[in-house]
Amino acid sequence: MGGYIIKRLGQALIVVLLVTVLVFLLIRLLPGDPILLYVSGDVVSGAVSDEVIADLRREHGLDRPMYIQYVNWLWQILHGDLGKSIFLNDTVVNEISRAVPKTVMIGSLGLLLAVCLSIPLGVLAAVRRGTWIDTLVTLLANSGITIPVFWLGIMLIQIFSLQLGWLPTQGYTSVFDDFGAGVKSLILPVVCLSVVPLCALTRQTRSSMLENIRMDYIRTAWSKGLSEGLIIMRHALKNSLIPVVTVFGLMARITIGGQILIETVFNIPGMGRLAVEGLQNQDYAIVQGVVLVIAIIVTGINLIVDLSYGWLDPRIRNN
Amino acid sequence: MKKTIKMVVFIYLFAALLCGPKVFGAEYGGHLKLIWSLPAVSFGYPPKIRSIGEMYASVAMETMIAVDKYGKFHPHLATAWKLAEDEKSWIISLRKGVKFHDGTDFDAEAFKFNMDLFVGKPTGAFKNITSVDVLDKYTARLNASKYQSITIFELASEAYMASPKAIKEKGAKWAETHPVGTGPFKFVSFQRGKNMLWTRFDQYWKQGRPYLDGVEYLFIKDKMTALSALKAGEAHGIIFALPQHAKTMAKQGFKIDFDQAVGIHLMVDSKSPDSPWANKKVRQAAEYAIDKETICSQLGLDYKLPVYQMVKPENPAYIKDLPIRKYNPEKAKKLLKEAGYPGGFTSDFYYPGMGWRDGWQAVQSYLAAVGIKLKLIVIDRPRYFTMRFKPGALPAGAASQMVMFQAPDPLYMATASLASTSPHVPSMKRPPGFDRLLDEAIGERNPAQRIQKTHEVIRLAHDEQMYIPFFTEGPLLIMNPNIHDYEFFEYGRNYICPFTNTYMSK
Repeated sequence: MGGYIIKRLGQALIVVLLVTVLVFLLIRLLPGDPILLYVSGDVVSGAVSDEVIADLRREHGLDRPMYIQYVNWLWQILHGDLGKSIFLNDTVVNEISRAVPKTVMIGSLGLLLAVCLSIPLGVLAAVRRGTWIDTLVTLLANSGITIPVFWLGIMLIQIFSLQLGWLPTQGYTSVFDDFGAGVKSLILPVVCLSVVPLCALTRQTRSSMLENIRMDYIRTAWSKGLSEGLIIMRHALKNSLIPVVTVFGLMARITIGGQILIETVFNIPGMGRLAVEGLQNQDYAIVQGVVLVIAIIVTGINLIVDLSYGWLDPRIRNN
Repeated sequence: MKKTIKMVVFIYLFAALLCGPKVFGAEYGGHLKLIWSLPAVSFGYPPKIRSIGEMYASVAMETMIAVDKYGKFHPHLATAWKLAEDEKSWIISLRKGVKFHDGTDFDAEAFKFNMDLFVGKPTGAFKNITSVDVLDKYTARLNASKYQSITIFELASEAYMASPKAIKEKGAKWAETHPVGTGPFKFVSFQRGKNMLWTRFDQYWKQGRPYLDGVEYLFIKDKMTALSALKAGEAHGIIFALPQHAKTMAKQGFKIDFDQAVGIHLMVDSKSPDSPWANKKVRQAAEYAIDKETICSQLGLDYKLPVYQMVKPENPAYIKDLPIRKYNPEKAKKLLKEAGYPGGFTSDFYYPGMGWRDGWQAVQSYLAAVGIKLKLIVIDRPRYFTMRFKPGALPAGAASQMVMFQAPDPLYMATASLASTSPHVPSMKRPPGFDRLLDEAIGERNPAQRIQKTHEVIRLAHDEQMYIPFFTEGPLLIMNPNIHDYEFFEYGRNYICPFTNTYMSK
């Protein structure tokens, strides 16, 4: 198992390195000059000379050849420095450290909620196949997966904030600063974020369970007189989880990458918004830093998903 | 007699009720919350306060002179200003008893410290000022290399006063995001993407002001989210609202207010000899071809106004009898034919994604009707700004969107955007003699002569069709009806608002 983990870690490192090369090159291939954009207000009033612009280029290391810029950036990363934002007047590490907790909090709670609800619902629908429960769960899951997240967010705001007045329309308060306000500010974004993974996981759990409960070993378990709970939970569910975990991994990636919509609708200054604003300004350091952190998180999730296969299926572990 | 006294008392009470806090003082207090969508980067270090940063700085910091929307100057931190004997330099008298938020005095030394941040530095302002002398505690002298009338406008628009102690102790970088000024509110905190907070400055020099206890700016980028927050009572107003939202909220009793702080025009490649736009008649034809009034009314919902000359009608330099080019497609076709383009021509048009897509699409249709086929190309902000400022970045024969701030002093606008020394719109052909005319106007001491020379500058820009005027726009406010005397459009400098007289009614 140790060797497997080391091998997967090595692969993850290569993936992250490739992502850094790609993002570094792609953002620089975009037309436009971030330094000129940064000083545009000053240029209008003639407040910036060519020397000032050259100094700014030098300050951000943009006067050097691209390969040297890349090597310097990698060297900085090894020293825990992701560079300095051209526009935000701060280091990328500071900007990301302010944004990450919000994104991680909402993302992890959204996924947790999805997992906690989807597996019981999927199991219930499979076990009670053909009943009104199965019909309802399947209908909701099929409908939910097609709902655009931003539309759902606006609807939730309309109902719970504007009509009922229970929850704030926007903003983020840390639960560590103000627990009550923090919880209130989390409810709508977390619910909104959880809908797509919840529906996808419910559908996958149901179909996977249906496959397994028709297997011979389940029939054997019934014939041995085991209780329904034991058969479902110990035998059928565990064997049904491998495809569910695969879908979970996929959903986790989509959730992290897609949080920008949630962060925009609910006005949360998280990683998604930081990345988009960085991209709009061609703020190289911000975009590179955010993509690097997201790449690390996503490869980390992939690693956990791969390792969980081994836990769920001893045949994979032994191979 | 008794009846008369009763009547007088009744009238007084009625008037007092109408005047609100000014008589009763009953409406002090409250925290004003406003939604902004634009990010702030630098709003506390005087030479770096520009455009958007100025909107934030003006709550806590003040300029030497106030300029109203008609371009008239009023005493502020400076109580008087007069030309010195050499007729180039200015003697500035400072207000006594003014304190910075850190408790230090505002005096001639503080004024000199702040002015020295500009003088001799590439800041764009006070280019003619060579040094500053302290004459006594409350009098200073701005020594100039030559007379320039725009110095007073620069004192009203650029010279924000920051505490010298704060800048010396904490540094310029810190000051960029920590304004320590003399304004009615003290800066408290700024969280990027979340909010900015100010609290009342009790030692403010205007007696009894401000009324509010504090101000908070909420940063909400998404317009729908901003509207929801306003409806839910999480804020009192939105500063940059969408026209359709303004129309909806007006029906619900909210106050709607707007200004025309920015001019949006067509800049074209008139410099390249092979460009169709190099021909003046083609540029004139383009203006005749666009029905600006219909576009602004139907698509801009009348919150955007069509423009035909450099200044707004309320500006003293506005030329009433200027032969403007209103919508006349027949004349446009005739001019194109005279210019040698009877069948029209094709041109690329670059505009930023944040621009007014509907408006430019309408322009495309109107121009197509006379034969000018615009190919609309949406570009990102960095590329757009590069085209606006970098020579050769706008492809030959192409056109783009031009932005011109509507300063009360048209000479300031012309210097910033149209003079050949301006880095703005390098693709624009500047007519011969334009710079000389501008210099003469700026150096003119006689106010009547100055207006006349300003008219000459405006006429030349218009006759030569240096750019194709389109519309003006500005912040569109949706404000809760219980907010009064918000001062967004009282000043002639973009849209600054110190909230000195703003109050909330119950």
